[in-house]
Amino acid sequence: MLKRYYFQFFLLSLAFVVFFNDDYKIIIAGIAIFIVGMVFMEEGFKLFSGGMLEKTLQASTDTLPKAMGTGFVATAIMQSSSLVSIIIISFLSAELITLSGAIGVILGSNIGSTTTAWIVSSFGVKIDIAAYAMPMIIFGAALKYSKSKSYQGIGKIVLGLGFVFLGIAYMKDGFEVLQKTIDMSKYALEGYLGILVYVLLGMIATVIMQSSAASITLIITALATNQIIYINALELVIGANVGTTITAVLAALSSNSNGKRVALAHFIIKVATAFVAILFLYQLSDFTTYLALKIGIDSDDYAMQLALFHTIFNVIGVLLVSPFTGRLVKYLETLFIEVNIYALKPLYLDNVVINVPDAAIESIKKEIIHLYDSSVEAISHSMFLHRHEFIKSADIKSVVKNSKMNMKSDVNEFYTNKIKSLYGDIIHYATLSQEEMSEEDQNRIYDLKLASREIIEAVKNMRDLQKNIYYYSKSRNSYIKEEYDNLRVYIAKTIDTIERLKEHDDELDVISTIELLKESTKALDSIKNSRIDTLIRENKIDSKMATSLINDSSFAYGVTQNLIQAATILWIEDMDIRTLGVQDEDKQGI
Amino acid sequence: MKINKVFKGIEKLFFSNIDDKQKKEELKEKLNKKIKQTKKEITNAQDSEEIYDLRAKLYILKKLLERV
Repeated sequence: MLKRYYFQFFLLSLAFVVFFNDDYKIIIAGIAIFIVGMVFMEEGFKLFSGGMLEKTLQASTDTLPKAMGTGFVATAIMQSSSLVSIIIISFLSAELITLSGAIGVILGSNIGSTTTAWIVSSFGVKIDIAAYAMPMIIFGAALKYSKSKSYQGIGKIVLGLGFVFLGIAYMKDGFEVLQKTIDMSKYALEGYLGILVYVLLGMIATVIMQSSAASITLIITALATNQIIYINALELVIGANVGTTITAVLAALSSNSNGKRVALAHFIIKVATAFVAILFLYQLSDFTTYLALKIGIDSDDYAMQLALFHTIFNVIGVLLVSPFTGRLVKYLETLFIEVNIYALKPLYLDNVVINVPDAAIESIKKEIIHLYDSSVEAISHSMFLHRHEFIKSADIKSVVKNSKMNMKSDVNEFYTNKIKSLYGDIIHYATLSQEEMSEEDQNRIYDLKLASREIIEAVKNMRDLQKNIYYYSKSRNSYIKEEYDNLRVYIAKTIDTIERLKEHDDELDVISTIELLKESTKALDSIKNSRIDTLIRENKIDSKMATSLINDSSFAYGVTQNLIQAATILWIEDMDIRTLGVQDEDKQGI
Repeated sequence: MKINKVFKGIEKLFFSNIDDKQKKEELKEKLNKKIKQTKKEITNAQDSEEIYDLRAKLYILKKLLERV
């Protein structure tokens, strides 16, 4: 009961915060712009799936060292590990790379991010990516309207990236007030409590500033002005390294399961690295000082020493985590599994009888009948008809004519959300059951698989037909309206006849009914249908209507033939009788 | 299991023609019976719509018999 109002409650709370606090309003707007950017980027990358980009990405991320190298180079060039992780999440959402490849890139990106600290400590500057947001949005929007699909894709990616940058800029602006309240000297403590406090502080500072490099600059300043001691600075750097993952977490909010998995992987890697760094903090500190002296960094050049420390502990973290990448991937694949609560569940596929041929065949048959019944219900609803109204009705034409076109049904949604998984379950179970079967039984299973495919094809054909049935039912042209009613009548009659033949005990009655049905539905074959020709010749329908009608007659014919084929397999057991009906098709084909 | 498969293969090789012929004869017999029964139903039927449907069925049954 409460679940139903969660979203409304969320909207109300959001409205409250947005109207009563200007700082939070900017931060939330930043998050919203950021998410919109992610969606655009994902859509853009999807346009490139199957092309050069996919091949390049696959080639550069197919092994762990290659993926790590890609991550390192990309982060060193872009100067932002967060940005690389965002792009990787959108790649994953568009299914352009694998999860293990993405984790490899993230590992490489961790080392690549250390170059930022070196640049900051050497030059004290960092490229402001937000400055590019506006031109990117302008050019992205212009490219989005290009006719070329490649340009559209690039446009969406650039537009998305522009929004991501703009979102980050807004978040930074919003947090500026909070940033001013951070006085690091207040927390100058020694011992493990100090470590935890400073790690947490480093995290918070990075979340607020949306940039680990900015946090490091702040830490260097604090250290130079003696606000904090050297060891506290190291702790803050560890925290900043973990805090940078929040951007990836935000990006994962709008992504699919794999996107969420890689964001979690990013977080796990950073936390594991931080844990090791905290545990061996003093040893790492001594090692950094020792190495700094060896490579010629002055003992009072804290900025350089911090950059070195940042590099050392990130390299150690990657070395620690990379051997377990395979296990990490396996673990992550058990998380964020999307359960389709609307999907039809198999009712008869019992694993106990999967190796008992007769019982397995019977259960598969029952399940396909379940699939058939559900599909026929959806097909009927997509024609704005209820089965109980037309099945066994003496006058199907009147039922169709008097039907109300107000039923809310989307056969496409039904296919995607409800029966696709059931079809998959049937095929999976049937294939497993075939292993130990005789040739005869295997052939029966093969036929049953064909029946389920025919049912799915019928639903798919109906997908194309549904839109125009609704559209032309509102038409002022009575001729086209009548023609579409006619298509519905044929499909309804097919469903009705199949429903009636289930009651026959003699399979010869079933096959003769099916053959009669085949003869009657031949009228739907648009090429042979002279009715449409007459309507065109007499100018009763325009050319647009004519092409729609020709196409849709073909879809309706497809629906009837798919259902007839499925019914033949499901309700005629005798192979010889069944093939009597198939022979007709063969002859037609010849 | 493998021996069974070998036996079935031999059986198919030598006796499948005989089996097929037998099956065809049985099917023909069944169809003939059905045709006779349908003809009877036509003579007994009073409703014109019913007669039309039964004649269509008879036509299909004859067509099926030709295919055997």
